[in-house]
Amino acid sequence: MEQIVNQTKARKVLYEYTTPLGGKRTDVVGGYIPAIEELRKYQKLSPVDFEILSYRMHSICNEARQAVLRVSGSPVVAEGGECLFAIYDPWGYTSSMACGLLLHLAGTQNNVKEIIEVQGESPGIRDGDIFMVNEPSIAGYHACDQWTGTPVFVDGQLIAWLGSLTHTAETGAIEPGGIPAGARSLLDEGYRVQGIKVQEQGKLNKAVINGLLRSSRDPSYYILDLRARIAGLNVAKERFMKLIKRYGVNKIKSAIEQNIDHGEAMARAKLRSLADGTWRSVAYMDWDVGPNPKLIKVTTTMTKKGDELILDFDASPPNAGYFNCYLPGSFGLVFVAIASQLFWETPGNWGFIKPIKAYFPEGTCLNAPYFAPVGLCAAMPVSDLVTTTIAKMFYTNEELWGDINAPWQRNALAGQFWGGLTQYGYPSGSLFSEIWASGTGAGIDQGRGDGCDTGALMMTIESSISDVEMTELMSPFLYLWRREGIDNAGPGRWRGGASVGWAVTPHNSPYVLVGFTGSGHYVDNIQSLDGAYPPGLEGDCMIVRGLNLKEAFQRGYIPQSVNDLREMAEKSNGSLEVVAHPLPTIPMATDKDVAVNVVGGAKGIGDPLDREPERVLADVINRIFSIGAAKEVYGIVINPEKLEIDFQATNKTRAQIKENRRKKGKVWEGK
Amino acid sequence: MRIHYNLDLDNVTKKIKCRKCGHEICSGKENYKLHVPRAEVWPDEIKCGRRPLRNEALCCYYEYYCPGCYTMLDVEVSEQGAPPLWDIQISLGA
Repeated sequence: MEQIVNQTKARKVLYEYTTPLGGKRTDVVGGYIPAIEELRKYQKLSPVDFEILSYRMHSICNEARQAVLRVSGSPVVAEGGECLFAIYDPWGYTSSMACGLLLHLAGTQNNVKEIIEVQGESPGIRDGDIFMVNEPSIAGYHACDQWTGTPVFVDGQLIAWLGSLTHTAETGAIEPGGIPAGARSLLDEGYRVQGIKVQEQGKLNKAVINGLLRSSRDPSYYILDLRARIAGLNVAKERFMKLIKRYGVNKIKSAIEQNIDHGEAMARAKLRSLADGTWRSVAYMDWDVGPNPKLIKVTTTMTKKGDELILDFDASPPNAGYFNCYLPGSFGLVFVAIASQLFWETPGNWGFIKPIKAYFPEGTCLNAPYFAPVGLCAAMPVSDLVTTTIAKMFYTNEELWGDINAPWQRNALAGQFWGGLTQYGYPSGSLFSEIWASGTGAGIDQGRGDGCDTGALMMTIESSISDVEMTELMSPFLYLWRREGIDNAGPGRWRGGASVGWAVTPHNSPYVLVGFTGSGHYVDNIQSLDGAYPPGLEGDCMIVRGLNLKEAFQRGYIPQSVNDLREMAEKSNGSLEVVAHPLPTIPMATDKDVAVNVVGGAKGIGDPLDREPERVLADVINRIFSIGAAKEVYGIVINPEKLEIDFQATNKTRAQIKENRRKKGKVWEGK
Repeated sequence: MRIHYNLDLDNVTKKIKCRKCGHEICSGKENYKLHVPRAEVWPDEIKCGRRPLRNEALCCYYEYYCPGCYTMLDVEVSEQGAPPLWDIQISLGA
């Protein structure tokens, strides 16, 4: 193992969004952008008008996002829900948003800024232009994050921007699926564009679109995602222009700015309701590029004072592999926690970003130098760190106890990617959808209590997963199993949610690759809260090769466990290999090889010994925990035949666990 | 004021105490983890799911207990030998 690297002493960098071109009245060829001072001196709307217009703008975002979801055929978008839609003010400040991808809530305004700065003067910004950006050093966190935006002009004045983002899975990287574990540079992670016009003054630029399509292994999914984003923009623009016609442009301009101020006021009021203080948390990852494990550490110190929140991050230096992030991505990952935990009731816009200050030191994996690979984003733990510190802070206000939530953004390990030829003969590549069914973090007595099993990916909070049958129809795989993992929820007084494990074999295709991502074999990514244990894994990710699966299927036998696979491998002189770290995509043989995939559960809260025996019994009956874990961790003894609690033995076991704590616990004395 | 699932900060004495047994642990200006028993546990000692094996694990667990009732207050994932993390530091003013 490589020694843990020292935490950096490098210069801290405050993430900031500054108004492009100083915010002065600016000619953009197709019209002009008013000065920012002029916009900020808006005529305040009456409470009734503001409610109506604020709600209408949010409804436009929601409707446009639904249009994107329905046009896209990509499982990542259509079922994973990985898309957002936003309305920005003329200088790019987000005013209203329908967000299925919380990590992009804070970042996409950078795309508008880039377009104004680079293209405002030449070639210019005109009505009917649609720009596209998927540059992780500008916004998003990797090349899969593809944003498309358009300006809205009224009488020559640019009054707003509309923007739509999808996670588009195939970027033409060195491996299929868009997040290549083999990348050693940003240049390995596929095509990137920084504001090209896919449409000019209402006319699609077919040459540009052809260029994009020919850069992807999967042009069919790709074009659907692009058209979906354009469809969303068209829907929103039509609705937005009707709104302007009905209420007048001045009221709409006011509503855009007032919405931002309203969000800020709500956010600052909530912060004021909490005690001042400082909270800290630590997260880890365990692999860079090998051949040995490497401990990667990310920490945060969160200080809340009055109505401001300061997040001071530190992290290990950049990695050679893809566990890195540029500044916009790291800042974006903060907002997975801020939007879902702290300000969930506040309109998602620039207003609630303003009270948050985040520092990321230069030369760390959270603020990596340009060209560092960023496919899997070292900042993923950032969301867990911030969720943890917010949960601890919430204890100081009784009214917020119901909102306390243990983290679940980065649950351990996963097998995720595939590429190759489909059973229909065309090239494709994507993610397996099970990651979107991660268990969710526990709450406490006044809130949700136990986490939700197979709930959602934290950053894509309203996600769902494809049916097994749909995945089998669309991609060249057969499932051997998909189920909630046993013993992988974080055990606590309130337990985390259980996540999903699955096993697939390539089917009906001459060429299939599978890749594995993630970490968690050598270290728990982040702890649970307040005395709960970190979640475990149901088992290891594995590649099993050389099975006679076709023959087994013909006689009606489907292996249902790793033990079944092991027995089959022994009989056929096959092999079974544990995948303990990110693994670049490798070929799998049709009807012979199996990829076993596991995802860790979510974090719990509180001492497991405080969990009521009846809840533990229910967990055992529901296959969340095994009888063995019930006894070892919870001290609950269950009769395996009758599935009943042995209360006498339980009392004895729990007393013994407490006694063991008395014997082994010593106050820390500095060594 | 509550500061943890099982800890309060007494508004009068400004001391951190256990919500379950009332044991006073330390001043609210200090890291409570410096005043409670802690035990080093390796992940694979916890028999619940697959966890990093002792010969491979890059971090261990530090369990912290209330000195009064031995309720487990925290399970830190940490490098072996690392000092207790000061995770909760309420501002008490001057």
